[in-house]
Amino acid sequence: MTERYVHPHAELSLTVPAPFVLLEEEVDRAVLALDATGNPTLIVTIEEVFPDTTADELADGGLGALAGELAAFHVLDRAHAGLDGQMGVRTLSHHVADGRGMTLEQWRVAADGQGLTLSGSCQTLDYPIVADLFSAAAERLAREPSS
Amino acid sequence: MSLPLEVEVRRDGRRAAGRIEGGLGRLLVPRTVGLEEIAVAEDLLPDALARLVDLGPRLTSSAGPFRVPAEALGQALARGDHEPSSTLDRTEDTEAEPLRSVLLAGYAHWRVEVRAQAAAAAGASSVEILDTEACLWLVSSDPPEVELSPTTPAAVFGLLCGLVPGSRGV
Repeated sequence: MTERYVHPHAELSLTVPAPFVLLEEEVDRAVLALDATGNPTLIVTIEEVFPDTTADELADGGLGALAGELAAFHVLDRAHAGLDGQMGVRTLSHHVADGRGMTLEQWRVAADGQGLTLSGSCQTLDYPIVADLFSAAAERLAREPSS
Repeated sequence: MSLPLEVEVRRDGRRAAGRIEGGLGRLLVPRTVGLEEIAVAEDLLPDALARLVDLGPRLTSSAGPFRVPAEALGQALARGDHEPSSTLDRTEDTEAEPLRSVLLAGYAHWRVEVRAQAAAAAGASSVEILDTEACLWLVSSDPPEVELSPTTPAAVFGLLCGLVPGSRGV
């Protein structure tokens, strides 16, 4: 089952692979939670970026910010991977939150002045059973052509 | 409560060992001078193991899996084959050719094993990796051969998680 999200101001619209809860909606970005119950969580962020921003630059910025925000942040994997029909960047990282080990897998793509990030987060010992769920969401997430 | 488990990490001749008990993992890790004890909660153990074996971003490979005699891999690792002048490179054994190609670019070899105490190798769970310039190779035992399969750090991290008793499994 998919749902559709359309930002009221910017030309940001998405086909989202599951029912979602809108967490943030600003003039140039939106944050959607596909599963807000806690563990695992899937978050989609769509934002306006410079027209020439690449997925690698989006990943550099995102990982740099996380390194400053999260305790014991550790990048475990980074590779090119598809998202929304384009080549993007998939990363896997680990951090500690409230004393618990947390694993974060993210897919990022940048095109046409828009940056799209899918973030799957879970308690670390659950990662073996939710990794496929994260990958399936990445395969089904898609921007919609602006009208 | 789960029974105590032994955990052992071997990487390029260095060995860290300890146990998992009562929701806590304790490891004695060799440092430049002496040993350091690492003690972490079970759910932090996969990351601690990942740091010990230097798991991080690597290139990915489109190469397929291949098999070699377990003896050939064991001998190459025992000799520390890294260079074209190695014994393995001079062998006329064509079975070892794919392995030679993997090893020539340089590698690290590591293995993490978790087992019930006093159970020796029987029933042990392990993750064994050849960490090369080209990619990570997962080493799977299938006597008398081993299979080497290209893999990703993310997949390997999932396997390390699966070694910890509190994991919900692979």
